[in-house]
Amino acid sequence: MTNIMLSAAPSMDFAERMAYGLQVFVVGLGTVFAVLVILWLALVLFKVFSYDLPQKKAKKLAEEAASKVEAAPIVEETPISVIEEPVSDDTQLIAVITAAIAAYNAQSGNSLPFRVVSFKRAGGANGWSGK
Amino acid sequence: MLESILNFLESTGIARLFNMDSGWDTLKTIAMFGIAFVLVYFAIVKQYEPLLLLPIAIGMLLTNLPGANMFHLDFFIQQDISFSQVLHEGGLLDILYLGVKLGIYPSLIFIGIGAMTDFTPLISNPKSLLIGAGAQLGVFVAFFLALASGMFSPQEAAAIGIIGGADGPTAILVTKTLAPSLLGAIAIAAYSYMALIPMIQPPFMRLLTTEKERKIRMTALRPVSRTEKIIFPIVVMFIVGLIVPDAIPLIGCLMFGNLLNVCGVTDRLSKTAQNELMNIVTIFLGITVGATASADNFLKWETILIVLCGLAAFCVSTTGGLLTAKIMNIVCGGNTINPLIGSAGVSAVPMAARVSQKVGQEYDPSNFLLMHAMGPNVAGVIGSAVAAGVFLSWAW
Repeated sequence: MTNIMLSAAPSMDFAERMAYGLQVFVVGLGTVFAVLVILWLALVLFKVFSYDLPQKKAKKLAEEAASKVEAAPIVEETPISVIEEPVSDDTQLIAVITAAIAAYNAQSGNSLPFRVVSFKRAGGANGWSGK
Repeated sequence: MLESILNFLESTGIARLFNMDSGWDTLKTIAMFGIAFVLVYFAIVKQYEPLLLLPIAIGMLLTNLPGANMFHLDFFIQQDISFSQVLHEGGLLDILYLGVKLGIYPSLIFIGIGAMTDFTPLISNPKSLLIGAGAQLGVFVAFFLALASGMFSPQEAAAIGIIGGADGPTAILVTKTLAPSLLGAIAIAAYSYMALIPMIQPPFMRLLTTEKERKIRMTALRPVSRTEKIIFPIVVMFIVGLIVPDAIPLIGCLMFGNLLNVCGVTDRLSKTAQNELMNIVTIFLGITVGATASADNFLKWETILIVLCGLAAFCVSTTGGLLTAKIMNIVCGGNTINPLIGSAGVSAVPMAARVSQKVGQEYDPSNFLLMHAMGPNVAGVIGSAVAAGVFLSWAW
C-alpha cells in the first residue's frame, strides 16, 4: 500500500494534492473530535454513577438518620463522660511542617509560592503521624 | 614497519574524514559534528529536555564518526528488513534501532508515561477533552502544508504533521512507519520544539486572550474516587481501540501504565515502569533516533522545510487549543473557563500546563491554573495518539 502511494505522489498535481489533503484534514480532525467527544460522554456517566448518585444516596441516608433521631422518644438523660483531647500548642509543629513543604518544593524544582491557609489533623491524637 | 604505520594512519577517522568522495561530504560531516555539539550544549548548559536531547546528540555524533560503522540507515529504509543482515553486519546502534523500527520503544515509553500521569483533572473536568482535540488542529494543518509544498509524499507529510502533537514517542512511531528516512529530522524537530514551549506559546496566549479572560478563576475540581481512576484507563482503552485500533500500541500502553499506578496493588511494577523501564528505553530511543541523523540524510533542504512545518504545527496547535477554550468559555457564560488552559492542549506534559500556570500568574498571582491545565494537557496526549492512529490506519 505504501509503495503504491509513494509512486503515485509525484504524479499528483497541485489541485489533486489540495483535494487529497483536505480530505485527510476533515476526516482526521473529525475522527479525533469524535473519539474525544465519546470519551467526554463516558466521563460524564462516570460522574453520574460514581459521584452524583453516591452523594445523593449519602445525603438521603443522612436525612433519614436525622429524621429518625428527631422521631425517637427522649428516655432520660444519662451523664455522658466526655474524654477531652489534650489541647497542645502546635505552633512549632506547624512551623516544622511548613519548612518541610518549602524544602521539598525547592528540591523538586517547584518555585511556586504557597500560602498556608489551614492545618487539620488527619484524626486521633496522633493525627500528624499520618497513620 | 612504515607500511604498518601508514595502514594504521589510513584507517584512522581523521584520514577517512578527509578522504571522502568529495570535499562537500567532509564539510557536511563536520557540520553534523557542529550540530551535535550545539545539541549537547542545549542539553547540558541550557537543560532543554536533557534526558532525550543528550542521547540524541551523542547518537548523532557516533553515527557521523567516519569508519565507526555503528549505524546503517540503508538496512532499514527498504520495505522488507533483512534481520539476518542487521544481526551479522550491523553495529550496536543497528541492533538497538530494531526497537524503534519494530515500534517497541515508543510503546514502552508510553507505559512509563501512563504510570507517571495523573488523569484526575481530566476525569474531574471531562470538558478538557474538547480542548485536547482542538489542539490537534496543528497536526492536520502541518500535514496539509507539507503536502501542498509538493516536496513530500502524503506519508511523509503525515509524519511531519504529527510534530504538532508535541509528543516525541508518537512522532517517532508514526515516522518510523510512514517515513523512516525522515526520522532523525522529525524527532529532533519535535523534541526541540517541546523544549522551546515556554518561548513559543506565551506570545500566542497573550495575542488570543483578553486581560479579563486571563484573570478568570476556575472553580475547584471535584474529588475523584479510586473506582473512577481504575475504570478510566479500561474505558479509554476500549473506546479508542474499537474506533481507531491503530492507536492501541500507544493508548493501550499508556492506559496499562496508568492502571498499574492507580489500581493500588502493583506498586512495584508501577515504580519500575516510571523509573528503570522508562530510563533504559529513553537511552536506547534517544541514541538510536540521533543515529538516523547522518550527514547525507540530515543536511538536506527537506530538513529545513520539516523544521518550518513543525514550527507551524506547534503554533497552530497552540492556537487551536486556545480558541477552543475561548469558545467553550463564551458558551459556558464567559466567566467559567480561563482560555489560557487551552494552550496546554498540546500534549507536552507537564511543560505546557506549567506555561499556562505561569502566564496566568503574571496577571493574577493568586490564580492557580496548574491543575485545571493538566486536564487539557493529558487530553492532548490521548488526542495526539488518536491522530497518530488515524494516520497509521489511513489507506495511503
